[in-house]
Amino acid sequence: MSTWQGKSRGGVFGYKVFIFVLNTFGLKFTYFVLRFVAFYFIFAAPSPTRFSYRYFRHRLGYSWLKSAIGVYRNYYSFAQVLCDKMALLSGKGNMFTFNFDGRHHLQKMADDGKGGILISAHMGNWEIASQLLSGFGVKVNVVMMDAEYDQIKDYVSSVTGEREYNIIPVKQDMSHIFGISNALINKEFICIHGDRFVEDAKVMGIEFLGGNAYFPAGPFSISKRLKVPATYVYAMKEGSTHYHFYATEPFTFEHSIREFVTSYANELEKKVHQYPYQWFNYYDFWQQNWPKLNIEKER
Amino acid sequence: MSTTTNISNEEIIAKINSFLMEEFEVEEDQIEPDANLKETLDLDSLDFVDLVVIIESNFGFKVAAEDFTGIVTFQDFYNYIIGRVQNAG
Repeated sequence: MSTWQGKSRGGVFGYKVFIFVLNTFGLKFTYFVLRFVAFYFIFAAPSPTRFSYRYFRHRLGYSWLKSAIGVYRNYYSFAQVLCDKMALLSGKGNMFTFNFDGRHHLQKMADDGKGGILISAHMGNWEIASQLLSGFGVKVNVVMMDAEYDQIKDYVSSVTGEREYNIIPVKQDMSHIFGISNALINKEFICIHGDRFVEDAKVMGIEFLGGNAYFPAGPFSISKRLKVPATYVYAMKEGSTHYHFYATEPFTFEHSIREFVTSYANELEKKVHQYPYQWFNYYDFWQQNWPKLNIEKER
Repeated sequence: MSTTTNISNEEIIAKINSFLMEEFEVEEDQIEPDANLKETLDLDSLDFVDLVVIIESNFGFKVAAEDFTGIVTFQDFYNYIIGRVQNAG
């Protein structure tokens, strides 16, 4: 099965080299080094390279040459985003500039005191987004897959500062259920990706970039069932040290879950066309033959 | 068991069934005491989030992670909530 397993490549040694170069030579030099790292990954990660190429060629309709270049640009963007994340967590956040579309929407959500579900995707730089969200006076919780090696997490924590948001790891022991429900009960913000799902999750097949793709129903059904306002948010890289944050107008969805997921997929499609090189799902997103697929029953 | 407790328990069960039918869109005849809760309501892990929040808002107590380990059937679920409500009282 070609799913993303939630683990980083390179191990602790790779992270140590990465952080050493970043701290010693600075961001611009690290970007320069990452140009070669991105090139290396084209060959070192054949499966993600193949899926990335198909995404550009078949989903975005690029020529074979533009698709091949796209794979490289995509890896390079991903490497830069990881680098920016480390820089940000190491206290170098002041080197980045931001503009914010929809700040007032999030402020209103915070002021209304009902909490909120901020649905994003594996696009752009979620770490930067989460950091920016800490200024609204509401506790921010980020739901993340937790397949990362403990050694990497320990090492990254040892060289970076405290995050300004709480991470709720999705684990087999289901402890995330209580983290998320407590955050909802306390009317906090919950940031969750709407474009990946874990094995038991209920999913829905939705038309996305010209093909049927499966999206998790959970983030949408929580918002609908518990009447928690939702918004779609993205933090996209626009220059070497500039990010553009987007938040749509909050809404409480009254229609079916299918319509809700479709509205998300449509919004995501717009962002993919706007920022094609910042789509970071390196597996067959349009796969139909999942070994276990728990399809949401539409009542 | 006293009559008052019986009525109280029935009210609690009626309240539980009411929110399960409303929030999880199941029919009344699907809710049988011996039926499997997870399968009947078609719950995945994020649906349990909703269940935990709905219990808190309807009955005013927090559910702990270990509380769910022994709950398999609707009857287990009723017993758990009735027990917690009575302990709180």
